[in-house]
Amino acid sequence: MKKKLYFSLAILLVILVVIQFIPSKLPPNSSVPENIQVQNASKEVMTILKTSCFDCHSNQTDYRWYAHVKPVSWLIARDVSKGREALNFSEWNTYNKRKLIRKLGDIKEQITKKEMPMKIYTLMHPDTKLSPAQMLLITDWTDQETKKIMGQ
Amino acid sequence: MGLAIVAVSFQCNALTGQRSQVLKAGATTQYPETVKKVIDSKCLGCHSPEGKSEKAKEALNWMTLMGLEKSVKVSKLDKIVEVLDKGEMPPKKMLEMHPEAKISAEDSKILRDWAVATSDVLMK
Repeated sequence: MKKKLYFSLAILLVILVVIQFIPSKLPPNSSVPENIQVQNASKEVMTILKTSCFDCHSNQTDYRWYAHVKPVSWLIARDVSKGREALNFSEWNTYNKRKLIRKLGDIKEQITKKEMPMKIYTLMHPDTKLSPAQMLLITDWTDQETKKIMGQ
Repeated sequence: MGLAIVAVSFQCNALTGQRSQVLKAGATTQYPETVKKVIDSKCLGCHSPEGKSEKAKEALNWMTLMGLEKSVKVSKLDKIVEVLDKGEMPPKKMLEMHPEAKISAEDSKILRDWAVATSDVLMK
C-alpha cells in the first residue's frame, strides 16, 4: 500500500519536473516601466486601480516567482492575456469616447457584482480585495467620468 | 450626413415618447431602411425576444436597444462596432450550419457606420 503511494508521488514529481520544460507564454510587460495615469482619476482611485487591477489590466504585471512555475504559470498567462484584452489601462488614454463609455460601464458592473478582482486573485493577494468604501470610490469615478464624456 | 440626421430623429422620437410606441409594435421599424434590412436578415434570429440563446438576447436585443439609457446605448453600439471589426458576428458555429447567414463586407459597413454615427450623436 505504502509502496503504491510512493510510486504515485514519484510519478507526480516527474510530471511536475517535465512540464517545467514546456514554455508558457506569460504576456510580456512593456520594456520601459510606465507611469500609467488614467485620465481624470483621483489619486485614491489610481491607488486602487494600481493595487487591485493593474496585474491583469495593464502592461505592468507584477509576475511573482510562482508565475513561472507550471502549471500555475499557464493559468496566470491565460488570465492576464484575457484581462488585458478586455481592459488595458496602459492603453486607456488611447480609447475613443465610445469605448471609454463601455469600459466605464463594464468596470462599474464588475465591481458592483463583485466579479472583479477575481476570487482566486484576492485569495492569493488579500490586500487587493476591495472594501465597500473603495468600491464606492471606483463607482463614483465611473459615474462621473461617464457623465462627463456623455456631455451631461 | 444622412445617417446623422436619421440618428438625430431617433433622439427626438425618444424625447417625445414615440419610441415606446415603436417598441410596443415590436418591430425594427425604428432603424433606417438600409440598416433595418441588415438587422432583420443577419441579427434578429438571435438578438430579438424570439431568439433561443439567452446569452445573445442579454447581450443585445434590437427591439429594446433604442429605449436603453443613453450611456448603456453607447456601450452596446461600441460592442456592435467591435464585433463587426473583429468579424465575430454572426458566430462561426452558426455560419457552419447556415453559411448564408454570413454578413457581407458591405452590410457590415452599413451597420458599423450607423452605430458610429448614432453613438456620436448620443455623446454630443
